[in-house]
Amino acid sequence: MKVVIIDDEKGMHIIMKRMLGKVDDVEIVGVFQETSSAYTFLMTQDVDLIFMDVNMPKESGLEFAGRLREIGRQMKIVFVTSHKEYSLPAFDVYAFDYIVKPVNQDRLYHTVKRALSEMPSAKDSVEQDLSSKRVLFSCLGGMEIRSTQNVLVKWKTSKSAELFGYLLIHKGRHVSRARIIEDMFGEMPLKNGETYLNTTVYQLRKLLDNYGLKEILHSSSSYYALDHSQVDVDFISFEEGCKRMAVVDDTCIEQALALEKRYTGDLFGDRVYPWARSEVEHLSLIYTSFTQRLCEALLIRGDTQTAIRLLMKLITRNELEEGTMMLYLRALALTKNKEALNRQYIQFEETFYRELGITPSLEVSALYRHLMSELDV
Amino acid sequence: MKVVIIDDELAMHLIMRRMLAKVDEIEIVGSFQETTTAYSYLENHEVDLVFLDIRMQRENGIEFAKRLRGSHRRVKLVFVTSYKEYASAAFEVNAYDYIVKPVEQGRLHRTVLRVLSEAGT
Repeated sequence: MKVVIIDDEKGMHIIMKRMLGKVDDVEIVGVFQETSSAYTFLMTQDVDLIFMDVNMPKESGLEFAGRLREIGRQMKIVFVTSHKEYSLPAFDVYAFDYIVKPVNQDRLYHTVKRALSEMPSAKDSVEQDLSSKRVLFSCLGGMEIRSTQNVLVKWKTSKSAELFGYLLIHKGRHVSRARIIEDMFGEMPLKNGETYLNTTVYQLRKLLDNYGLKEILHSSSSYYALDHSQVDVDFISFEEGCKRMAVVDDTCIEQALALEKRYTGDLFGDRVYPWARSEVEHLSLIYTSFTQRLCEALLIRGDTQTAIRLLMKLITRNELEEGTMMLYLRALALTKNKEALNRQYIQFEETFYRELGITPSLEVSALYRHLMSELDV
Repeated sequence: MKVVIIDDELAMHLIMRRMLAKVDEIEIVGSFQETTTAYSYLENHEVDLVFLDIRMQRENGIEFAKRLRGSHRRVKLVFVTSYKEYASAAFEVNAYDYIVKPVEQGRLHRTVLRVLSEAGT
């Protein structure tokens, strides 16, 4: 259940986070001190429950709730306030509950449990996860099919693995036979290509049959498609996860760290396919920018060590990424190790000059000088 | 959707019935003037929504709601009362809504439609 907290007092944010942290299935996706930034957030995010103060300097919680209802938003709203007198107007904006401060842990717990029990199909989707998503298609850093017993698939032929990857990156969409033949078997005469494709489809279907997944490979005389909706596909989940975490802040760092771990390598690992090049690049960029956001949040939290570990990983992947470089310099500055900061910057300069024949951008050099001068104080 | 009305004034039963009749999906399965008979009815029947007065001769609506929460966690309770001061007590018994008399047709319909839309999902 996705939860947002709106309260002008920062102290309440801490109290609420601590109390809600003890409840499973609660994910705090946003914390705000006033309603306008909350509104912007809610316009793009689906939220199940909002805990909201009533008296706030700008817009009151009641007015804001009224505004949300007017535009048809039906998320549950729980007012958390020191004043009892707003309970009647709270009903008019369909409040789910009304908790009077100081917040009692049990009272809050009951409200959350009640909200959870009313979540549509929460139970259904869990059951579905257990029954159908037993198979994992893992394509980051290699290409594997794993079942619940963790049995790895053995690819009979490299072409059946290639077809599998090919159909997966098309994410269930129909791909014409002609296009598959051109992309995968383009180097051989057309007639051979067609025969080869038929054989490969047969092998792949047989292999999927071992997992009871024969029917996810759709085919007709002119197209093929691989329906992945019943299966956990690591790179698709990863991309969706990154999209959901467009903002990484203190409330979701743990999830972000777990998501980062899912990226176990570039798409298809050592298997290099010309048709996959742009997708490999796309995912790699998503990973980089997501990990940079995560490191930013880690630095704000003060977890410099974790940030440094991840940043070093990013640097190994691409030593010319200036965004990573700047985060790394900031992390080193936080460790107060002036010497390391200095050494690292010089190394960046050398790499840049060696690889590209230029110096790092003004932004990077300015940041470096700023960090150095701060450490001098 | 099955609905029960509890109000000590018979006139209110009539008003509520007339207003609720305009919503097709509603079936009024019982109306009671006090809580004892209502309670035994609710013990034996599935009901989705209860409209409940607060100040009544014997047990008041809030007390009744507390008792009901022990066994009927699911049923939605909507208080219909002339008094505004029970609103925070109503939240404590997980009231779904709180309507102040005289009941305005539009307000009542909004509540009912909200319940119906939730039941649909």
